[in-house]
Amino acid sequence: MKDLNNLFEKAKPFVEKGGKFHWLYSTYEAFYAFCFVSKNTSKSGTHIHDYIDLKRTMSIVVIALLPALLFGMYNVGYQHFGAAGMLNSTDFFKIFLFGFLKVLPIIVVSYVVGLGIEFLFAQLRGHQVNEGFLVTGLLIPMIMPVNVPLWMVAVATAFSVIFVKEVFGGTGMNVWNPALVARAFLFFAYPAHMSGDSAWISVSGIEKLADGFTGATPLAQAITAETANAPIPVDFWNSFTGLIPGSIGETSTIAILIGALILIFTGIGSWKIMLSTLGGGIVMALIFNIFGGNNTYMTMPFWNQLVIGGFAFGTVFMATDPVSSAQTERGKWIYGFLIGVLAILIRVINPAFPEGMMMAILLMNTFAPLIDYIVVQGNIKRRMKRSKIIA
Amino acid sequence: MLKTFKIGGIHPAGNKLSAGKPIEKLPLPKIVFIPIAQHIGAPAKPIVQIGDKVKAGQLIAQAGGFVSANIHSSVSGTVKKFAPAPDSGGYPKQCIVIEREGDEWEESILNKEENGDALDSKTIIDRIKQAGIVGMGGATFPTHVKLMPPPGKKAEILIINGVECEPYLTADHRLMLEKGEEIIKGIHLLMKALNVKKSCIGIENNKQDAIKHLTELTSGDPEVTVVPLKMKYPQGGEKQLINAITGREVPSGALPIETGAVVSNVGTTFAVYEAVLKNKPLFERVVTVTGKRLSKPSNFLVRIGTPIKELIEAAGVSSIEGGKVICGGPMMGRAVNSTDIPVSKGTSGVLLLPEEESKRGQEQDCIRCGRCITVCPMGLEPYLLATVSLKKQWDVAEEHNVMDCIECGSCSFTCPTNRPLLDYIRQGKKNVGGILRARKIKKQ
Repeated sequence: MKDLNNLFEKAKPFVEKGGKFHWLYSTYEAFYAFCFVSKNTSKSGTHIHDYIDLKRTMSIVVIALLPALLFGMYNVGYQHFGAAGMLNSTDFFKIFLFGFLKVLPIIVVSYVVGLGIEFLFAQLRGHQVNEGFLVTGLLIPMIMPVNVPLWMVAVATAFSVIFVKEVFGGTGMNVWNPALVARAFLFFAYPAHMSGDSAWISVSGIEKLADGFTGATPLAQAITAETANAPIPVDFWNSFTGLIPGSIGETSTIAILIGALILIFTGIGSWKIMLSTLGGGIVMALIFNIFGGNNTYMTMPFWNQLVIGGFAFGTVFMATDPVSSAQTERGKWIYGFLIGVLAILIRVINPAFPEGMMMAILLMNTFAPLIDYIVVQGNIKRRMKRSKIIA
Repeated sequence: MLKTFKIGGIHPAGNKLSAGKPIEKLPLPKIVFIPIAQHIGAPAKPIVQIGDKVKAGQLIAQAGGFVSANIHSSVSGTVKKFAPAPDSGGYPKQCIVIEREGDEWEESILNKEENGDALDSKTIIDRIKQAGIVGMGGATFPTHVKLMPPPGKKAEILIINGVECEPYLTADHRLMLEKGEEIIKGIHLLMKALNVKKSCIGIENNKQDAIKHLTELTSGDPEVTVVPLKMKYPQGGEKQLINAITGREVPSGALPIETGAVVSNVGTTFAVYEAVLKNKPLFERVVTVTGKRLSKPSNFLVRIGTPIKELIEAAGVSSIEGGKVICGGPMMGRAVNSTDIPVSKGTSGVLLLPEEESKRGQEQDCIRCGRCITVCPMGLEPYLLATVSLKKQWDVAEEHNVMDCIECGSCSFTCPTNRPLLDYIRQGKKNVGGILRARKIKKQ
């Protein structure tokens, strides 16, 4: 650690104002801040500060994502060897290693492209590089199908970082969740690679597929099942544990729940948003159960709705993204509830969009500032009323 | 379930280093600088001349109006000069400088306490006024003004503030442990002055010994109850404490008396006891001197006007290089640039904070996490107030009730992007306050 510090100290004269490489200062500062704590002290206002800062916030989200990511890697291998009918003859590490090697390139591409652009923009503008992309760069691979071509990941990442984040002013200024926009971009630009039966399971190198193999996700199966008599495509416990086809990090509700606990316990993810999204989803699913027609999707009990697709992942990691969500207390409840309602509504009513969660969150991201505005105006009125009673 | 205030609040680390240290008398200073404005309101008018001999407890400056307070000499000696000395805000304030000779007290100060049963409300308030007592929690609002509610308003309950929610500070805690009986007597005097029959002492749960001690002392007393409170900053704020104990909310822009509650700090209550029953004016107070670099964090009984460097030296530090000196607690206290500033009636602590502890990270863009809203004890939107203050949109700031801010600093404390929200909001408050005053004058 000391050597590293010395290195930074040595490099400092070159990048400071007047130094040879002064234009590299923001890059220097970014690496320094990543390795050490910044050196300024308070002058006025409060003299002490909570231990939480942006860096720690982001690190904790990354930690919370790890269970879902590791499980996702295992599941990629599991689905592959399952498709080949070789599950019984393959050991755990081989399965994991297969998935690891499949997922790793996507993560690397996402980070390299995203961070590259962030550094470039920070450099051009003379800003600092924020830690925000550490999370976005991990979220993007986790909501991709495993068979997505790497160049698409690169294009989508570049699109979302430039047009969703940097154009609006960087970390904290974006209206939408960048990771979800990357996903939405691919969904509309290259639908063939983002849906259908071939996107979700890596079947490359398999000579003969196992009998009864479909490759479709539970969501897709639910849509194609036409009558209520058709069996629910995947049973609750399989979806809950997550050994089903789907986007890399989204399948396992239990791994996501571990992440959710980490976020709630550290106070980083808003439990209000998570709870109200859950509530909204349950309410909408119940409405369909009671009033809906008789296709499988509408009659599907709500607990099944909650564990399939991106609902759990979106609730815990996407809806709670502070930048794009509502920030007032009451706003958070409204925002989350509407996401839950819309996600189930879109997913059930419009079979062309199996992933209603993505749409729902992006839509509510758009309305979050409006929700906040209404809540804040309401607060003013309430305070005014209170003082009038007295006067 | 322990009581606490309803909205917002934070949990900074307690760091009550000096909680176990009994109150000690600080050796008397050679020279004292007694500011003539130690309270909210008009400065007092000096009534002594240069060269006059004074005794400790002698009136040296008279209240300059209704909202003002008398000032007494804290030592016996000679008035040397009238000179400005910096206060904790950094601005020079006029002081009466007295060189000490011996320690002779005014004869009217009693050694034994008088029986206070026969005193009526008016006498008690009058004695408090004579003794120059102000709110000793830091706000320094003259106590006699507080005890005379405006016409039409009636006090129903007296709340004694033993919360001491600022980290590090322990002066009130020690006072409750060592002067419990006197404080209870002070409470009864205040109740009599206000003509109320009910009183609650709010103490945070981290001071179990004080809760136990005062509960025992008040066990046979139907009028006074000790209310243990859940730990949460800023519970010691007047509005927060009223909310925690009575459940009532002080309306925007109104005084606490609107809720029928009058709040008094334990330090003030002790001073009231001494003033009324011992005829002793307010010229010394308990000050916590603390910090992790001090070899002996302490609670000192200090004469008003003592330069804080004498306190720091007595607590075991000779040099203050490489850190910050703060008058008050780490949340609301003020960093000072000189250790020559004198202790005043509102100085509850002197804190030496090492550099590592007072880190303020690089300010970044808001990530709209809403933590500041969650912690704001006044239910405001700090992020919004800070933004509009930065943009100088004073009308918007006023509309969003910027004047309700109590400057507790919870928002700055919690902001993950290190935005000095309180600094910005203070700017807004100052400007909006000016606009409001100008409007009032125009109206008249």
